Amino acid sequence: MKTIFVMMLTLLMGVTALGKTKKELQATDWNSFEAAMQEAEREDRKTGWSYIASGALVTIGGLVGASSSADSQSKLIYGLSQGFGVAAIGYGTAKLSYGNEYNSFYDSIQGTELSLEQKNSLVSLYMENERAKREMIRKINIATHAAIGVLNLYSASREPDKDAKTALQFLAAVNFAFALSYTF
Amino acid sequence: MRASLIALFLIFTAAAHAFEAPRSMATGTSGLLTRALGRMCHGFDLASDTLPCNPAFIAFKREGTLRANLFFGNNVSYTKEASDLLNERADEDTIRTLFGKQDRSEFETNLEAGYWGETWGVSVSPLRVNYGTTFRNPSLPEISLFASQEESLRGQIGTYLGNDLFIGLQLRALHRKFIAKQFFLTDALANEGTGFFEPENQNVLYVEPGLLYAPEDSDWNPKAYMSLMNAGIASRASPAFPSRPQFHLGTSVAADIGLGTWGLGVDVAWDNGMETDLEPVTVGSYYEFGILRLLAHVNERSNGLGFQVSSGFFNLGLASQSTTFNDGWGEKVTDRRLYLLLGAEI
Amino acid sequence: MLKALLPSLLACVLLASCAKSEKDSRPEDQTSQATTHMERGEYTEAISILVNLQTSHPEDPKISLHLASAYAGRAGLRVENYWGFTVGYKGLFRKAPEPQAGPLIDLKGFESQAPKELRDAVTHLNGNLKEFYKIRRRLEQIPYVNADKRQDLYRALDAIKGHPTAGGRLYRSVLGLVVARSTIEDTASVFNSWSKRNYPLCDAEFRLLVDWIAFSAGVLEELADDLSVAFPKDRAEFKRAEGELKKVSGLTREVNRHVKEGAALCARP
Repeated sequence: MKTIFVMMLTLLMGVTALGKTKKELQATDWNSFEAAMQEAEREDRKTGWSYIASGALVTIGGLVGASSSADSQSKLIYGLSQGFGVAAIGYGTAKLSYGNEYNSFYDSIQGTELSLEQKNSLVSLYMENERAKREMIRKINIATHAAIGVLNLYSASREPDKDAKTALQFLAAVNFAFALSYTF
Repeated sequence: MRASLIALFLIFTAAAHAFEAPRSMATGTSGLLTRALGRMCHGFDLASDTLPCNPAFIAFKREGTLRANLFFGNNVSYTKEASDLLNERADEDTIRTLFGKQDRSEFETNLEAGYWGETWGVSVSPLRVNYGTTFRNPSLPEISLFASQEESLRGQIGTYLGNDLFIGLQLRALHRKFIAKQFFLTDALANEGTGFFEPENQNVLYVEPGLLYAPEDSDWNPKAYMSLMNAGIASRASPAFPSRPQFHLGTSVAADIGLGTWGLGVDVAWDNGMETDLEPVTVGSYYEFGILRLLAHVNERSNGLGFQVSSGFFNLGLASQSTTFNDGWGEKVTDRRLYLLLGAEI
Repeated sequence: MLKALLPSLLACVLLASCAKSEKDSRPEDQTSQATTHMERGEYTEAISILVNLQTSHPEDPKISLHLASAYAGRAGLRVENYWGFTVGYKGLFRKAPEPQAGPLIDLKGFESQAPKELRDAVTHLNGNLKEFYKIRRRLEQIPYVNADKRQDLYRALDAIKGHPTAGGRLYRSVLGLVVARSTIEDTASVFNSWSKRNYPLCDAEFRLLVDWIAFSAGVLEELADDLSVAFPKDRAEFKRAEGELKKVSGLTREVNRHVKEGAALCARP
């Protein structure tokens, strides 16, 4: 059981390290880009405050829970929750301050005296570069998850304990499935 | 005459004594939603466990999600011993560890991964272990033992029928190895316990449909649903795991309130093992905002409270559930148990 | 249609009420009732139900085991008292280094008093008490039950004598161990008191001592037999131990015979 537990934690770390592909903004010109950014800003404000509030609640709840809990597994969950909570407060604050990944580009363009055609051109170029970047990240994620899956299979083949072997095979299958999901 | 014979048969079968596994072991799957929300998990479109409880919700989402979860009760230190018992590897040390406390104990573990797509989903659980013992007679303990290990594959398919109606179907195939036994403590210790615990095997195929009505033109997002769970065909009948199809009927609402979303629902369930009129009714609620989701449910025989923290990449959660169940000797016992979840999601 | 069904419906109602009262008197339900009494510490009530049940179902091994546990419970024996040694006490009869303890009856005190036949019998007895000494050291882990509660343990032993299941025989051996340990402790106290008075042979304490040693040997002999059924793989070992204890029983009977002859001499004016 401990082995399975450690493996799941490893999977969580791995997934976190690789990161999730962020939601792509759909825009082809400056007007549609501006409209989408205004909608996104409204969402970001709501998301920012909800992350700060929930993060604070989770941090405090985690501290109280960890000190009042008797068993080690619950303490671990409460302990991890505290980390989540603090990270959520930071993320929420960043959301309120800086918005999303497109804000920097949007704020830069908005403050200039460029013509509409020039802004359209810049938006088109920027979105093309963003797509290329996402495509590269997607390929890296596919390769990385597939490599982890191969490593898990190799470890499973050398593992004498039946339960640990099953868990390693499960992790391998999960990583291959993750790799496959990035191909869609 | 024929009617009389049927009536007689029903009476005698109703009076017959059966040693049946606790309901949480015999039904459905193990997950945070099923423990924190109870039966109300059929009424909400919540992404937590790998696939929705009600297969009609499979067609609700617009983007695919891949999820892997490890779910376990907080008494999992005996998982190895329970697995040894089920796989005929038990020895004197196993018996000593499992029965040393002479106190009621229970745990479950579930390892599962699944993909929830736009109109279909699949999940595989290579390991689900359930274990429960109750003891009576402090002078020479008599033990009621349930232990099961399952491997299962679930597939869901659903579609939008039009007029705000969704329909879904779940096929669930499982292989179960289990021990359901009542014995004296000294029976387990004599002869070093060898050959005393012989597991039985069962293969089951479940066919579980669901129907959902979800009109879109309301801020409260009302829903009404029907679903049928645990309707299946087993390779061999067993009194420990009888076929008990469970019918669900319910309604729920969910609205944006404050910084998040609040949901509330009522589920009415029926199967041929229910004893009171009130027990079938479950009221459940959730509130989610930011990274936090709070969950709760109550009915006459159980209540639960839980939280889930999700960053979008991974999630973890904790649920506490109190349940009243049959101890194997016709006595009702109430227990509160803690469950934990570690999950990854893409 | 309804008229045709009416007799059937009436029959169903009658059968349902019969089923209900039949359910109440089923052995498993009465056993459940008795166990509920035991959970509450009401052992006398439990024993009353189980004694009646055993009378009507003498062949049911579960009932006799429940009855034995009720007697043991009334004597104060709970699982937490014997769990510690039950899981590993197969080693009770395993070969161990020869103990360094002295003889049970010190002959130094006897030489000037005892007739030759008695001295020889006691020497022979001391020489054969090796199994006894091995057990005695390990018996110190086992709970002690005082004499007034021990009657219930004797009843418990009687209730499951020759029990057909390995688990039942293991439980009987546990009870036997508790009886043996308690008797041996009382024997040791009596022996100390007797030895302080310079081993008077014409003495009730000496006769009690020999009786108790004989009784303990008999209990341990039955215990070895029970263990040979509870652990069939080690049957040969337990049968060997049973054989040794049979010798001890035989020798104590010989000592007892000499003691009785001595008592007759002691009674002469």
